Amino acid sequence: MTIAASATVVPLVIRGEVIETELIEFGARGDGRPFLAPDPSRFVDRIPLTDPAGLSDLYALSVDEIVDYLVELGNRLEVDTNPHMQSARELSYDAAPTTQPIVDEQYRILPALFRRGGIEEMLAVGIDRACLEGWVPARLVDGRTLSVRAFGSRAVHISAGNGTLGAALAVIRSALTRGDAILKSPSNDPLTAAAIARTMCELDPDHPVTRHVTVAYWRGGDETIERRLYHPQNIEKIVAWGGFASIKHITRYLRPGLELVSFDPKRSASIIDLDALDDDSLDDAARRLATDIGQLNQAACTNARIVFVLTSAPARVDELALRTYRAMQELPEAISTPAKHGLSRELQLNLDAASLSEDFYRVIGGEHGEGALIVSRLPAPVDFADLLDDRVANLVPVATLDDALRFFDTHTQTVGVYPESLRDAVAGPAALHGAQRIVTLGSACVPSFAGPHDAIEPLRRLCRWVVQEKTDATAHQPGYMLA
Amino acid sequence: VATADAPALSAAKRMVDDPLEFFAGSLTRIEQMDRAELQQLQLEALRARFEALRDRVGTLKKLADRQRVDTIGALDDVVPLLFDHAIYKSYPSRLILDRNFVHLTSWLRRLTMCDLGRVNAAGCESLDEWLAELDAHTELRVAHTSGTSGTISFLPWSVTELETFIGLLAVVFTQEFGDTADWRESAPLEVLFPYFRRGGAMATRQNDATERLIARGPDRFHAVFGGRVSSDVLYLAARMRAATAKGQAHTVEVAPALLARKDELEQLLAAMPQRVDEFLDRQAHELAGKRIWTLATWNMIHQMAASGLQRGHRNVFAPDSVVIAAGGAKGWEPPPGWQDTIRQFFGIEQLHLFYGMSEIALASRRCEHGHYHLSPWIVPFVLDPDTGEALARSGARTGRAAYFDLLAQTRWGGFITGDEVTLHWDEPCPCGRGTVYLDERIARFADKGGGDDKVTCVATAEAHTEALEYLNTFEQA
Repeated sequence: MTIAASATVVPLVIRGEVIETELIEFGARGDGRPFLAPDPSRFVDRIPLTDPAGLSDLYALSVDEIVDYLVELGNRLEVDTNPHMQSARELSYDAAPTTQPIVDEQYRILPALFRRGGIEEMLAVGIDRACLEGWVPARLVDGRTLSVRAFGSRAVHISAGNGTLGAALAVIRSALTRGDAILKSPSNDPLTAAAIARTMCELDPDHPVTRHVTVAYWRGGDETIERRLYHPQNIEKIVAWGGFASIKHITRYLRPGLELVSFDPKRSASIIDLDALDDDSLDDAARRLATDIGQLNQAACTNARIVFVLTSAPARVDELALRTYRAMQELPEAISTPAKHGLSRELQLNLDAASLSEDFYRVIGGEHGEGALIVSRLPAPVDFADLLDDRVANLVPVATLDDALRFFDTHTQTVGVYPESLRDAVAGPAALHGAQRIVTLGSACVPSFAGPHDAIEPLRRLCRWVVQEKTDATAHQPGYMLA
Repeated sequence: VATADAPALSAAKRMVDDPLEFFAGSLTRIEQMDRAELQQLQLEALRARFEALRDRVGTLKKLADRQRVDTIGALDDVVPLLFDHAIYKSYPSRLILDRNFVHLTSWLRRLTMCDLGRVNAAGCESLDEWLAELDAHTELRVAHTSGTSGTISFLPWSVTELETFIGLLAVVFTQEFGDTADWRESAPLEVLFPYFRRGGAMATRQNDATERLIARGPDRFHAVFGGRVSSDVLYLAARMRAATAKGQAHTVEVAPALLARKDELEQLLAAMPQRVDEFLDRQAHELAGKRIWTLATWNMIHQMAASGLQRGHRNVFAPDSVVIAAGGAKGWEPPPGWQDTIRQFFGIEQLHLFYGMSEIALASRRCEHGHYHLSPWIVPFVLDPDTGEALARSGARTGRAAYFDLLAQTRWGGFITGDEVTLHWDEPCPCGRGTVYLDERIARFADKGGGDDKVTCVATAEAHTEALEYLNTFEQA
């Protein structure tokens, strides 16, 4: 095989060791350049931690020491000074769905995830920290003492590549729970995880946290790799983001002893009480909505796509749409830009068709990839709602909250509400209809990672919860004594 | 030049308004037109269609106004005005659920020149009733798609357009290149149809014209099921499948009466293999040795042939019977030897392969050299898949196929497909036919580019399509 000298190498990092040999080419289809990575079939037997007791070195560390390590790691991930992160950013310019200014911003903010405050919050909100430190006893009414401790697990993490934070989150969550993490990189962000792991090797190749992070690239679904890896002898959990395509080939390996923690594909919505808004608050709502639609160019699951507008005066929805469209054009380029390659063909076709159906839709913008707002005349989202992307959103007038909630389901992740007075009416019913995160309009795309995610508590789910039960013969008689 | 234009225009009009007469019912004539002359006729006919329809088909007018197209100087000038599949389903599907057929009618009005003034849509309670109302009071015979995505397209064919199309289809497939006979003077054929006699999908919509023009009477039209398949039930089944794939099955609103009819249809379809067997036993006896006509998707024809062979029927019909296998059965991989199975059962010398689509009067027949020839009433375009611009009309070009159907008189005939084709503009086909042709390999753009190992947290349409395909496979297994 001829290999272009300029092709980027995505190293394999196995527990502190960086491997850049036995390179083969992987062709990123569509966006993205081909890249080189070590032939995974040559190394697959070294990737898993086959002995579960191999996690014991992590128990020589206190949680504080792990946090110290992560904070120091974060300091070294500053893209201005870290050449590995610079390479990852460079590759993402092509591979990411977003444009260069947005990619730049993603890499700029990545180290913030590792700040002490944020990590301490994860420990405080996301899990019972004492259970990570040791056995936490409780006295039961029958006299026994029940002690619980969270142990780490051996997990494969298949993170989403449409943002850069997935790899960082997997490293943090695995370290905090004292787990062993195998990060499988996605082709739309092949290098970020490896760059972080490389930085860990430079920080301290023998540190237990470094020694429990492996980063590999193989083609998702490659049976020769996955059949050998996805086995209860090797791992206890697979933490998989992504849709049917990435999940379906995993499910065949599931069996007792191997659990799937699935972060399903999601979409997000907004609910705006238009009748409650005066002219100033309408402006405020438009700017916030523009942010929720436009941030990351709508490449994230948190972005608003369908916007339900509670109103008795549907004509005002057009005004909200116009102002939102204008506000979207004024977003800073680090937050949002016109589309990287224009709209997808299918979306553009449907958008154009909608604009020809003026009885049912009003389309604002959308002629040159700058984004668009589709105002429905009927109280129902467009039939091509699943295609909405690159700053194209659909405003749907509804008379009542129930008219909006009927369109929510288990795929509905974030719901932005405005004004705040609407929140209490929305939160409970939206949750019952499937929604997982209710936020103030305008902050949909800056999630906190301290709390639950997609109605799952990630830190808790990563742990194996082990219990000790100590019985006191005076209070609780074992069976043999009853004889 | 002025004197040369006038007869050209009238020849162009004759070619597209009464093609059976123009080509004297002869495949050989269809295939032997002079290239330069044809190009001129196509341009004149295209201009005439544009002038007639531009301001009278509302959606076309809006598009033409927006694109500022007022005249057609060259064939490629029509490219910005070609419709795509999204146009034919650009109504909110809510309208059907809400039984708002008045709005659906006004949406449809913007796609056709036919007069819908006598349609009383307010009285319609179902798709079936709406389609019947349109049949009864307009020239339209609206065909709809299967709605696998959860939304169905409505294609406003007129009764005349369907009849012209079926007549030409018969000429193209019943004759051999070189014959000089006029198809209109040929004998009727026995028609076998492996499904319902009536229905709203294009395959069933064609049956009235097929019965009149090819079978020439109801006695020679033999369908497995004599009745009509309900469009509401088909649409419900498609919606439920699409919603299940999205994990939204609970959101499908169904009237109880409709649900009962869906059960009926499912029972009927479950009994289908047995009904087909009975049908084959009867027809193998009654029509043995006769020249038959059958046009269906290749999997339906194959299924029919495999059951027939299993029941001991072999070489049943006349060797010159016309068996036409259309593609497009989604997700069906032809088993090895499938063509032999069909040939052995029917007893035919050749199995015809067909390339066409519900939206336009494209009836392309694969020649003995594996090329799909494009008839003179179809103006083909090969578009750059990235930019949508027309590629040069010379040499061999690979790209997205688009067509202008010059037979469309009451609706706009321009249509962009999802097909990737290679079109040969200049090189003559060794079969001797004079028309331009496509390579045998025709791919769907939608099938390309999957499995790219990108992982995203966003619920995309692709994710749902994959889930849907999985469900369909599961149900067929």
